[in-house]
Amino acid sequence: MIRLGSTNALFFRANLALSMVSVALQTVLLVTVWRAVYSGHGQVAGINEADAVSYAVIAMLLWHIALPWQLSSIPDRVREGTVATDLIRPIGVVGQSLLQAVGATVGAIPGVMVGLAVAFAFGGLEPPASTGALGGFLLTAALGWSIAAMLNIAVSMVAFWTTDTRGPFYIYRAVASFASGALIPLWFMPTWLRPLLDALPFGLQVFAPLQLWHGQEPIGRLWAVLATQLAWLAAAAAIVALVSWRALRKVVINGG
Amino acid sequence: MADLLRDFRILLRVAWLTELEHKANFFISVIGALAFNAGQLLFIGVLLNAFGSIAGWTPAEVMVLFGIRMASHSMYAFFFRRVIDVDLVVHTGEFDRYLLRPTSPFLQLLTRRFNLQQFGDVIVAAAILAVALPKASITWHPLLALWLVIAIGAGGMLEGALQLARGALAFRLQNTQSLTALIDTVFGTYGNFPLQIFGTLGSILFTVVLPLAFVGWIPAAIVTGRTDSLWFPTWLAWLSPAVGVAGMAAAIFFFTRQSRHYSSPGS
Repeated sequence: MIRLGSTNALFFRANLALSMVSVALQTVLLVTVWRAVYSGHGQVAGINEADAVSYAVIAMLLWHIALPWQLSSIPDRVREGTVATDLIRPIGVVGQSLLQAVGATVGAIPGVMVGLAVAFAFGGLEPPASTGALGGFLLTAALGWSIAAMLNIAVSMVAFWTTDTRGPFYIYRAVASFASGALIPLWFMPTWLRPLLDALPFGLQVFAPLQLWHGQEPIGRLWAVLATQLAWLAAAAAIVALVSWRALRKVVINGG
Repeated sequence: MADLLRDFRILLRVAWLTELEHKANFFISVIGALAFNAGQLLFIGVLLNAFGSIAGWTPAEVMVLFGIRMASHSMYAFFFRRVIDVDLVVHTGEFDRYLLRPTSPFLQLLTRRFNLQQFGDVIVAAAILAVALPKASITWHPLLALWLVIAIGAGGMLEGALQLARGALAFRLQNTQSLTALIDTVFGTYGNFPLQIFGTLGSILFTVVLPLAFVGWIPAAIVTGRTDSLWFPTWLAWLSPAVGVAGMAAAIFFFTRQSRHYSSPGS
């Protein structure tokens, strides 16, 4: 299944090349925009230009992996009726989707590498604050990815109820992108918005790992982040279990 | 031409009725588009809030730019959004049908589904312009207002032209999904900035190579009188809507040519 997911991502060579060019271009644009926005300002919200640029690049790449253009293959498979085959496989629809998500992430690695290389070439990458910070980043980023993957599956199961999934997907994508800190670091958010954003799981996917990268959170607080992430992961898994249990009662197999 | 218009009306009506069959879906789609646009608005809003101004443009001027870009995007969404489906239409062989029916395949592509979300886009665009235009100090003239309307229409055509040319590549390259996403992201995120922040080279690139300038920056500069930010003379900026119209004509031509390379998946 993992291999299928990554082969899927890597199958269309032209698309792969385009996606690498696309990541490279977006990296250059991000670096330029943040530098331009910062010109004339020393520090904003206690953050200097180099940190903000580096944050923007890594956040974009994390998000590129955690929230792919296609949330999962479930909507397409429901519409085409091929979900019938998935249902009789011994591994379950959720398991299959998760493994495909892992595969898709493996397939996205070339793009991430290109993004990092371009950012590095433009001097837009700050190294992690310490080895401990790097470890904390990797650990929390992996957990954050798992939460995102679970939520992506939960949301994509809307397809079992409605054929047109664009509306719910747009809402999810917009809320998740904004609240995760993928577009703008949560440092810059107005203070009244912070409690709401902190209560959502999205900040744990991008903002928290990057705070650790920049050595912002004292290392002792790492455990608090990890504990919250594990709690959210359990909650997300429970949501997926509940939704899929309801969905399978609802499923309509299209086609003859 | 009259035939084409009649066909367009019929196809649009069919697509519209198809969508309206599911009423709840209509509302969810509109709310979805609202949320998506609100996300972009928040992005700019938070930046302006934290930094005060962007590349010398006041918040009101940046919001005018944002509103114009959003308006031209909703023109694109209304008429041309379905051009992003070329990949799908080619993969599934739906294009077979288009070739058999007695009207332009391009028209059938545009109306294969009616895009309900643009109502969300239109609402956001109108709201932003209504708030931002009075706040920016603009010397209005009837001709300026007329020019702005034309520029917004032409901006929508230009975004449509790029996506259509991208779609036409699908006849040969099969999968160009990441290019669709790239155009969407670049227009949606960077089209909202006064392009002089990318430096002279960047703003030339965004005018000539990836023509972002025409969907927001140039019209906003003309309307707010900030033509000092442009890298070319003001009289050229007044002519800029011609680019959108010419771009669309060229893209339709390219699409028709590329469609000859279509090979049916045969199902």
